[in-house]
Order: sequence, then structure tokens, then C-alpha cells
Amino acid sequence: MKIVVGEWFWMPQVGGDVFKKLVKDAGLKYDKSNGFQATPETDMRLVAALLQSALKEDVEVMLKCFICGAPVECEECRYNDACGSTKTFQSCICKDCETKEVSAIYSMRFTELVG
Amino acid sequence: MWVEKYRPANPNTMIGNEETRLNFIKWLKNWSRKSRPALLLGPPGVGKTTLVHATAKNLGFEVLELNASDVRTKSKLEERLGPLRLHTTLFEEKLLIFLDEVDGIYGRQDRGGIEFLQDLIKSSRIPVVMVANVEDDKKIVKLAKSSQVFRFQRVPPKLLEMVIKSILGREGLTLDQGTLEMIVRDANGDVRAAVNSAQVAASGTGEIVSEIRDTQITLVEALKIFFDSSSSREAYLALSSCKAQPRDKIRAIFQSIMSSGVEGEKLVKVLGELSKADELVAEIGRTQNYRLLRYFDQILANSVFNALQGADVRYGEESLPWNLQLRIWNERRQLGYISSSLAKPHHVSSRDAALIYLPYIALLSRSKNYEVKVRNKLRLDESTVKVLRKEVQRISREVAKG
Repeated sequence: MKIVVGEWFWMPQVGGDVFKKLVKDAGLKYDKSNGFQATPETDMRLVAALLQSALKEDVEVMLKCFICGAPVECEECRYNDACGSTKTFQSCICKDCETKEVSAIYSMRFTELVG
Repeated sequence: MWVEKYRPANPNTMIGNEETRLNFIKWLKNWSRKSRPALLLGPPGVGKTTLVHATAKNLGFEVLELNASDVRTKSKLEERLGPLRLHTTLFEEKLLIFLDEVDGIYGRQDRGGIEFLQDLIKSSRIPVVMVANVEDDKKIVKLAKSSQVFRFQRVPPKLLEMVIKSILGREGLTLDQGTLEMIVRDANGDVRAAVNSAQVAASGTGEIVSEIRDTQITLVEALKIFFDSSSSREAYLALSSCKAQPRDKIRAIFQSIMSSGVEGEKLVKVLGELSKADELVAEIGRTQNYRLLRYFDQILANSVFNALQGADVRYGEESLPWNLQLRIWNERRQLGYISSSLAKPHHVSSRDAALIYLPYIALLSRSKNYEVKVRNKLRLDESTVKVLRKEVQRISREVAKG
């Protein structure tokens, strides 16, 4: 199962107890019409552990590229081992956006969001 | 230090924790008296303090900051912050109360600091921002209930690499990719540690070190490891693993060096480095810029380790024969007494009395009549008068030297 931090997603039925833990303890956001969403308040380690144990499958946490918004492919990244499978970051930068001017573009993107 | 030189002055130029940063900026922008105070939680070195200062500056707020080095008992907090609970400033300038490292505030069991803070939160007419590293502490759980919490996470490696490359570019320096990646991995999401390590690596004066140290050892243990270290990295790790006061570390290193028989130019060099470290501590105390203490261990370790290269120094407590130490201590105490006696009638601090008034009084006391007057006026006993006479001789020698 893949979870992209910041994006809404659905998961198979995990039972009331696990659902409560995911929402109350791990801080996973739930909305009846949109599903689940990991936010900066979410404890991704706990989410991954709960889901792995409930679904009996690996849970891969993915980050969105802060600049272009695309999911970041971690397998190709030189720091993949340093981040681990349950990445506890809010976003990253994808390979395509890693240009010479990345620092300036990153700041400009944030300035746009501030408005 | 690069971390100070390149500390972002604008929240838009910071890195990592984008959503949290954005939420905090919105919170301060839209702050009203109904808003709850902000509590920024997260590991060290991810930009919590920088974000508060940069955002406040950007939005035109003056920051009234209390950091962990201030005494934060109820009475002290009330003294500094009490008037701001009910009033704004005379000229209606925008103010923000910033309490850094609230994990260090005393709770009910000791001195009521947390209770005062909770009360302040309810009644403050200006924004209150608090920062803490831990969130499982009971005190922080209490504060979190009545605050708007902004959670920070570690900064991803790619962003750390980006910021280091940017600084290196501005400094006109480079690091090979292997070293860069090692620094990024070692920093473990801590921007401050990454930038410090990059500076050390780029300057070529020492080895790369991580600032995150969990273990705590005593000063004696730390110094034993320090003097046995084979690299400045090991020396730094030893010093940073010990929570002793900076001046205690300087004093203990000084005593060990003096008792190990270091001589000649090496002694001059290492004492020079120690006195620079001592001046740094004094400067931090004078300017109350306690944030700089974070770099103290690194500066002390690098400078003393390099100055001591080739010298065999072992940890030792006694640098001077005990009778000599006793005499120095006693004379210092008596001079302190004279200075404080002078301070009161002249309405100056004891420090100023010692630095400005005492040399003149001592010089004037070369005249027997004046010495008698001083003796009677300050009610000095015979031993203190002897110390004053020694001081007269010392100053006279210095005056004669020009």
C-alpha cells in the first residue's frame, strides 16, 4: 500500500479499534467523502505500523515534490536509505526539479503559497 | 558562524516543514485576541526559533523574548510579562511574547512558572509564541491543550543538501559529493548541525561532527576523554556530552593544563585560546545572546585541541599548590569586599568600583594619611589593608611601566 503525504486516500476495512488508533493516536485525518489524509500532525511511523499489522502488507510512505507536486520516486534517490520507509517529512524535491536554481525556485514556490 | 550569517531573515527563504511554516505565518497574520497562543513543537535545529523571529520581523512585530537561560519562575515571569497581560504598548507597536524552550519552565512542584504561563495565555492581549523540543513532557501536554500546536519534523536530506550547496556557493567554496552526503546523513534532519559540519569541513580545521548527542557524562569523565582524544571530533563529542556550565569547562581545562606542566609557546597559545573562549562566554552574558552558547563546545574543542597538539595533558584538579590557591582566593575575596564597600556610596556596581574606582583609591593610598582615611571609612581590618597595599604596589609597578 502506498500513502502520499498530503493526499487523500482510501484503505480497506481495518476494524474499529485500528481506525480509532489511526485517527486519535496517529493523527490521521478522516473525512467521510474524501477518505484519509496524512498531515504534518500525523505520526507516520505509527500509521505505517498499524496498517502493516492490520493489512499484513508493506506500507510505503511517499512524499510530494514541493515544487511540482508530483510524488517523489524514492528508489532512485541517493538518500533513500537515510530516510527509511516511513518518511517523517512534509515534502521533498523530485529528481526533475533538482536543477541548479532549485534553492531559488523552492523559495519562490513558498512565497507563492504565502500569497 | 555560518548558521548565524545565513540565518534566514524571511520565513519564505527557510527550508522544510512547509505546511507548518505556512500555517504559522497565517496564524500570526490573522492573530486576534480570540486566537489561542502558538506552541511550536519539534526536534532541535529545524528552524522553530528562526521561524518565529523571521515571521515577526516580516509582519512588523517587536519580539519580547525569554529564553531558557533566563530564570523563569513565576515571580520572574510575572515581573517581565505581567504588565503586558492587560496593556499594549504606549505607541501601539505590535508586540509578540516569545518563550523559547518552554520545556525548561518550572512547574507547580517548584516555582509555579507553568501555572503563570497558562494564566498569561488566557489573558494576554498580544500574541504569545512558545517553543519546545519535547512533547511527551507533562508540562508541554498541559500547554498544548490550551494552545494551537504547530508540529515540526526533521528536514529531508535533499533539502539539507540544497541549503549547504547554496551557502557554499555564496562563500565561493566547494565540497566533494561524498563529504556533502556524509554531512547530510550525519545531520539527521538538523539544519543547524548540517551547516556547522559543512563549515568545519569547508574550512578544513577539523572533522565533521553531529550536534545531536543523547548521552550525558560528568565533567571529569568528559575531560578524561577530551585529553585522550585523537581528533577534534572526539574532543567535541566529549565536551558536548557533558552538561556542565561553559565557565566550569574552561576552568577545568585550565587546571588540567596547568597541572600537566605544559610550557613555553604551547602554553601561551593554549591559554590564549582559553581566554578567547572565556571572552566569548562573557560577551554572551553581556549581550544576553544565549543562542550562541550552542556553538561554545565546538569552538572550545577545536581551538584547544589544535593548540594542544603534541602536548601530554591529563585531567587534573590541582593546578597550583593549595596554599597559593588559598591566598589567591582570599585576596580576591578581600578585594571584592573593598569594591562592594566603595560601590555603595558612589552608587555604582561592584564591578565598576573594582575596575574604575579601586585603582585610583589604591594609588592615593600610597599616602599614609589617605590610607588611614580609607581604612576608617571602609572599616578595613589589618589583613584587608595588607591586600590593599599589595594592590598599591602592583598598580604602581604598572604605572611605572607606562
